[in-house]
Amino acid sequence: MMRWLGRLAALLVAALLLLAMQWTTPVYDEMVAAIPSGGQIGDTVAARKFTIKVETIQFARQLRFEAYGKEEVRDTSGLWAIVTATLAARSETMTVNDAYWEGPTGLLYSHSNRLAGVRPLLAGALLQPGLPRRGWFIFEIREDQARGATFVAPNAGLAPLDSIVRVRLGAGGAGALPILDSLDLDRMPGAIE
Amino acid sequence: MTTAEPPDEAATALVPTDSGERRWRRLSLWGLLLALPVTFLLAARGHLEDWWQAQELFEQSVPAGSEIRFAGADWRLETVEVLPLEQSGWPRRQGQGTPVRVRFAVTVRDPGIDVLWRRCRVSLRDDQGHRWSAGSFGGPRSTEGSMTCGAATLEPRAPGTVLQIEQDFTVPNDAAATVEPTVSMDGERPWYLRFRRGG
Repeated sequence: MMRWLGRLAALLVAALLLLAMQWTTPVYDEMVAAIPSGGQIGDTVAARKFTIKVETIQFARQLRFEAYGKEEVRDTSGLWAIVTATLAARSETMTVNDAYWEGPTGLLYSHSNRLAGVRPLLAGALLQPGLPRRGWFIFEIREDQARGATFVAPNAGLAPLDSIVRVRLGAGGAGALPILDSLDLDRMPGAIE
Repeated sequence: MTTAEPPDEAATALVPTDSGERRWRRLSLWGLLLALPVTFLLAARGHLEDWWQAQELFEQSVPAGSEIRFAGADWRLETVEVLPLEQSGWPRRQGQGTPVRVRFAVTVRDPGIDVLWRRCRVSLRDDQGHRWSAGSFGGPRSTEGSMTCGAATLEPRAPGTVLQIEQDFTVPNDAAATVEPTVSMDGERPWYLRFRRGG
């Protein structure tokens, strides 16, 4: 009788173990997920192939710039978020093709594609080792996603087991968000040519 | 029912007493050590080949001024030239960069270089392990009839043809004097050439 009870208990334990393993099995995407390297504004954060230092964040309702000899204006029903950063390749020539603004509720904004012709955009810029570039990542976001956001680059889905950077963009104080009505990108300090 | 049972039947079935059977069981277990990696290698063969073809692992050093047979052609480094900024136009965007133009004279020896030279990669390297890939300054090519390594694969080249291969780079000012060109392509990787600079 005791032996049967023992066997039953062993069976139950085995079943429970199997269930626990099944519940906690990571999906393939999690097993090969990108490895985040974190930091905040002002830190130089290093990924495997590049380093980034996010310097300032600015918000504006409208952007003005000159592109291909023409004055351009871009309005938005949300906000323009301009991330000024210095980006540097570590050992090989490379590009950072994607960057994201991850809002406090998890909304993920890709960098804007409405700004063709703005010169020192960093997304897709060719980075040579030893030649860091200072410029902007510009996002078009919803106003409630401005505080407590995280800058993420490059695309985590395209970097399995590689590193990505996650830069916390400030906790977001209680005061009103400093939002410019209009920002002239050509007059903005920071772009080095 | 529970008292007069013979020794556990399940246990006897699992642990064979026959010495021949035990030997086979041991051999099979050891066999797994071989079978599992082999299965993995067979399944991943395509990926491993792709990886192997993409790596530059073994350096073949080319002394300054000499010629070497590589991927069906004889390669000779002609010049590594630092261009004046105003001539190149493009690198002003990168402030501190220096434009460098590298030129090779390549004599075709094998009729199949359009295949051997696929994914041709010309870079500049320094001794700290930095690698600069070729780019463009956006200006016209300096030499009539010169072409990039990739462009040379666009059509078959007859043996005996001499190709002027030219590639442009942007490197930091302090690296321009010391960087050395490297060349690799599908037909030769993971071997690659590194041209030493004389004087």
